[in-house]
Amino acid sequence: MKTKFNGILTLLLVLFVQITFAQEKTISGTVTDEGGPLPGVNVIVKGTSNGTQTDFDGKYTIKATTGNILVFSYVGMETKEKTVQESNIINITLAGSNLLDEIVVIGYGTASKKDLTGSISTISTDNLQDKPVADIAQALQGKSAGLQIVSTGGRSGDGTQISIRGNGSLSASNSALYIIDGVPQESMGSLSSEDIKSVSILKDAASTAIYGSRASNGVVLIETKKGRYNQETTISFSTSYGLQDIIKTPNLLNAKEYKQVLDAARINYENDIASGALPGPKDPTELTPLPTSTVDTDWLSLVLSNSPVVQKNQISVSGGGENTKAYFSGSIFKQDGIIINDSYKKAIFRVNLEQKLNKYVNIGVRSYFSYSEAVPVADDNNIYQPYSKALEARPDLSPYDADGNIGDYNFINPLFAFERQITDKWQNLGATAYFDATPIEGLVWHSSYSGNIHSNRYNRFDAPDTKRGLNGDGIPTGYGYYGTENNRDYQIENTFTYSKNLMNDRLKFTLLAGHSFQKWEYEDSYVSGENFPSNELKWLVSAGEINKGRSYIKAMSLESYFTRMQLSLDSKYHLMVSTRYDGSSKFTEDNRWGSFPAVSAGWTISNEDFFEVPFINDLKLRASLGYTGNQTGISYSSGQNLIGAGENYDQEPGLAATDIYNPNLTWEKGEALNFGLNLTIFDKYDITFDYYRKETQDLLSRINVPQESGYRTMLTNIGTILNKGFEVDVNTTLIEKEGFKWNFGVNFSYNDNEVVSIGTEEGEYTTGFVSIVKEGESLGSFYVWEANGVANETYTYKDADGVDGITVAAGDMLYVDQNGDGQIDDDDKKVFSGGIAPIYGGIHTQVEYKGLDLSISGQYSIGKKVFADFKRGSLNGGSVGAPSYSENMISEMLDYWTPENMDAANPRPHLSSEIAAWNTERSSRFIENADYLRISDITLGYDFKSLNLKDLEFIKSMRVYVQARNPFTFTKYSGADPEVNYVDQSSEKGQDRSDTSKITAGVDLGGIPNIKSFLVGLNIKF
Amino acid sequence: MFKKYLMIFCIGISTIIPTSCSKELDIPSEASLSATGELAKEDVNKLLTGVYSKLRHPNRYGYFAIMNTEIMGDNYKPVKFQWYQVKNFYENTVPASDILLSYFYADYYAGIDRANVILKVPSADNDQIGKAKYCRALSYLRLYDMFERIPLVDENYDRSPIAPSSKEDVLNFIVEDLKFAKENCTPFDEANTSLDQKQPTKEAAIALLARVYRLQGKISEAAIEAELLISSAKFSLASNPLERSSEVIFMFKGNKAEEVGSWGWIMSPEAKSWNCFAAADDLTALVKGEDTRAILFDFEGQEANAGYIYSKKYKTEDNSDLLISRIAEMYLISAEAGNTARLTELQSIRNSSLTLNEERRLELSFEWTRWEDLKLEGEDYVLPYPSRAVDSNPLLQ
Repeated sequence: MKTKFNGILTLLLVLFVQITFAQEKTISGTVTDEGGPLPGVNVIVKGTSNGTQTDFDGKYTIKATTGNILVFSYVGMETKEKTVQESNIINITLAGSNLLDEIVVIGYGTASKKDLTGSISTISTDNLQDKPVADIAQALQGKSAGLQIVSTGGRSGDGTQISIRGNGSLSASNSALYIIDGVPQESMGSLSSEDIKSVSILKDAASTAIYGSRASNGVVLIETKKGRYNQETTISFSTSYGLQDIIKTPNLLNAKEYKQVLDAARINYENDIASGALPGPKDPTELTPLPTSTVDTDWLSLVLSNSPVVQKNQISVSGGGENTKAYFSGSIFKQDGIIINDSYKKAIFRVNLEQKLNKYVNIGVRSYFSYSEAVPVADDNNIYQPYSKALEARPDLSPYDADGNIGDYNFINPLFAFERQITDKWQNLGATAYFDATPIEGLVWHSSYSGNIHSNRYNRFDAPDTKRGLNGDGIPTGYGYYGTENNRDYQIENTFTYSKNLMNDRLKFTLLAGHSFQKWEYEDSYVSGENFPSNELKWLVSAGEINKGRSYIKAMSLESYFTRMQLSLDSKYHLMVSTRYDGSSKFTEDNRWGSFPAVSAGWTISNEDFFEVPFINDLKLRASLGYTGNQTGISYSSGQNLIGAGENYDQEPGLAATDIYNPNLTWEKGEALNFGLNLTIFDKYDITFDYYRKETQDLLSRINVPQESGYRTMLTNIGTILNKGFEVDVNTTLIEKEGFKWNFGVNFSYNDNEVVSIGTEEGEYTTGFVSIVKEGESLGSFYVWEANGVANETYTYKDADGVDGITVAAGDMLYVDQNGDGQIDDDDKKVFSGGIAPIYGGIHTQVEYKGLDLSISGQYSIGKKVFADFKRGSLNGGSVGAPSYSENMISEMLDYWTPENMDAANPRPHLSSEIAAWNTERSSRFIENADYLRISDITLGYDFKSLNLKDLEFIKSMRVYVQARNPFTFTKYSGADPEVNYVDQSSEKGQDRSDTSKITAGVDLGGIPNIKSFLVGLNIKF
Repeated sequence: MFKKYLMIFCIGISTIIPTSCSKELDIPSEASLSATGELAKEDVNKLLTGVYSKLRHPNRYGYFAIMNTEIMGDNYKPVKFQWYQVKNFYENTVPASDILLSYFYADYYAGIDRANVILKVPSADNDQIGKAKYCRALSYLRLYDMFERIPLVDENYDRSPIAPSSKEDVLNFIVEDLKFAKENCTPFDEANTSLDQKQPTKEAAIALLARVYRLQGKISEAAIEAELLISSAKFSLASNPLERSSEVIFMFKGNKAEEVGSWGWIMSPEAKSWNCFAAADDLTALVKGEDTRAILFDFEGQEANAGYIYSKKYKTEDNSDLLISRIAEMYLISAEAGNTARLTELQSIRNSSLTLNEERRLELSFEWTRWEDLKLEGEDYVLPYPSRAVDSNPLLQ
């Protein structure tokens, strides 16, 4: 009622004022957008130089005459004009304009997407909502061209591996640099997906070079939500609950089938001994037949959890008053793994506050606390990993012995894994305090002081009566281990940004200068002991003997100076020039400092007068060149010639050099070119295309030295890797009318990776089980024999002169004799590439209709190959005899060669280690096409607000949804998961961690496969 | 108001710009010593400790490195091969590309390098140099057992490719090192057994010299060295072979905190689901009648252990000592040179009546000598050079 009255009053006032004279007067008002008052909006009187900006409350005052036109402009918003009439108050609401006007967060600042010259992808935060994942990277999968993300396994809380535009290093990490609210971090672990305001992925060197010696692998910039001044308080609550399942369960042999294969293996061997083809075994008891068993154990069912739960709850409060804005949030994520006992939970709290002191100065704080607690299953590489042990366990033996104890056999009973008690707890606390000072118009001094503490407590207990609680003499003793990690880092950073529009706003100009210092310290310690009095007393305070322990510290620091200039003329010509000067404590004083310049330019042709192509709404060409570095993967003290301690002997302290000192060591250097274009056609297709060429030189690489030196390798800067490729991103709104909206997006990336040189005479080296780094080939290549099927009759290899070489019996594998010398040896190995897919991308679509929304997204890889290394065991053909007998196999094994089954997929089973080894040699037989399309997410939601119910007026939105994560995977790969990539999770994090996982990529060791999940969720906003 | 903030701003700039943090970029290690300083004589002892540490436990797979020639020989009966690589050693079919093989080569050279470093330290005295040379000799002997022809690197080696020397030259090199150690190392002090048994002494050098002379076919020279030790009366045969302290001339001491010594464990039923070895049937068959060495085998547990008889020579926890030289070997060497009385003395203590060869096999089982004996008897299997070693040293042919 009161509002109505006010409205009438205003109308009367307007009528009255309208008849007064047109003279200069003071106009005031507030500029808002959908979220509230908008500070920093340019307000000018059209055709004059008279202008001002809105203050922190979105308020402005300006002198104007009736009939003047006021122009309100703000980057990322559509510009509005308003004619001054009788009223002295003009309130304006600006709307966000289309995609092209987006504000993009770039390093140490922002830019209008229109003016952008580098290759930067932004990911809509809508894509991150409602994704109950342990690692936010999982929610980024398939969302941006050039961004390749693979899961590292199906353990609860498992992470991902991100690479941006291919892999450019050998031993240095390929991880992107994460900058969260301006602070470099090693992971995104402190974030809850709902807290994220924006994600920018800096791909080309011109964009990343401002981060200098750590920027070679791209940069992921994340800002969290901050609230807004003069904004109504919004409370959001979201919850989801889901059930999970293993992506694919392997088919194993049952006890009868197992015996069939083992008997066949033994009989084949006995026949060969009888015929004189083979000598008998050194130990003849090996030939004892496998006893018949009435037991048939399904080991997998004993280790897999039945529909484990994943859950997430989050609440956030966002708002602001006149001088304060704030964002608070808290979330809890819980995930039970698909392996029994495996669980993970994590709570994250965040407080972002900003206080306006006065017109010139704002101060603020951004802080988070997170706590995670995991009960991890053994690492994939561990001999007690229950999943792989369940694949191997003999089906003819019962899980428990007659006394009801876990059966102790000649193989590791998978159930032993569950006896160990582990808790792994992380507490992370971080905060940034900052102020922004604006002493003169256009100049901002941003000063920030950040610190993070990551602390870990790891407690392990093997109770005296468990398998691993027995001492070497088989006597119950119990073992305990308690480890801590205490990692700290702090950063002091100051930047000065000066922005000004010159030449009647034709020229936009931004200058940045800054200084940054960051230091990291990592401390760890552990203590272990044994001889526990009881199974119930788990802490070392009860141990009778404390016998091992250590404490250790390492540290590094980085100091940087950087500057950048951004220019944009007439919204047509854009230029960005930057350089950074970095000094790192990792290297000797002489090699410590380096500079990383970059330049990029853009030309918006569509803004030229001569450009008149009706269906092209926007066309911008971009080019950039930049230099970056990478200094991960090497020790913090690489620049020091050291004699290591801890080489002890019978409690006496010992010293020894443990590595060859290389005083010339420095960071890897990246040089990257980028050509791109942004195109909008027919008002609805947004297309981004980029071509890049990224060369990494002076690779941090361990080259072989003669082993007679006492060392195997020496760390040095040598070699070059080249990544070339292109990326296409297409986004379109196919239909938008009458409440119906249909978006569709697809992205495509092609990356050609080539090891140009590794700086050694041989030009290649092998590593891992089957992997090779070879000049002219790509990373992730396999070096194995080329399989040539199974011999149907005795086959004798011959050399070039027809002289007989080795002979293969019928039923055994044939391999290609590449050099034709009649022998099959190391010289016959061949390179097969594809461990890292050259083509990958994502696809997503969203339909909205009257409150209903349906979104589907997926990712794909083409040209991917997997070396199914686990199959050497899973198709072993009964290669081990009494007393232990071979591990169990997958049902594919039943299709084995016999004189009656010559078309078999597998060679004949054989007990002789020589034949069995020959038949399961690492060869192209185990290389499989692993192209895939995975639908990663299907979400169907409904917003009850669209019903406009009176009872629901107090809420802003209430959405319920159902979701399927990873529901479908289309692939020819016969293993559990084409995506799985083993990464040793136990290895410590840190910038000295050497990472060779890209070299051995594509090798499937049979780890725990990915999970799929089905969820329901609810989001409410008040 | 405005001026006030401009002033603060200017103060800010003027303090920040010149505040260089470059001193903060020097972070000395607190866990390692700088190698650029001069080394004192006491430091050499710590470097020697570093050598012992490497020889005792060359790498994470040290138990295979330690027992590798026993695996290649005939003293073991396999219970389980978790890794086919271990089976390859057992079957004497090791390919050059074998990963375990590459460890065994490189990590003995790591010990040799640590010894060579000491030989270059100016402040090192002759006792210290002698100890380092003993360690170098022992490492070369282990390499000789596996590969026979090996490159000989001394303290002047410059990390360039190097060709292997002949078998004879390798043994001669070992003999020269041991002769130096014999002349310069402090003699074994019976009053200080626990210390002198775990570090090289004059007597340790003599014992190894006797072994190497025997390998060279110089059995009488070997016997002279052996008799030196027997007649010194510093060591004596023990009536209980498990309580053998009086017999030990040199051993590497096991220590649980240092997580070494698992070679005892891989010879125990506790390892049955991993790589696991029991004692060979024809070895345990040598224990006849009231032979005191029955205590070294778990005959009682045979039934419980699915018919296998395990050795109890080494402790099964991570603290078993690694025997290098015992006085019993000296009796056997002397006997081989014709002093038959020495065989009788040994047999009277052991309660046995085996042939000399059988006596050697039983007495010295799992002490890295069986493979040498088999070779002297005609075994001609030699491990290939590891391919990775050949890749980085093309002269290794």
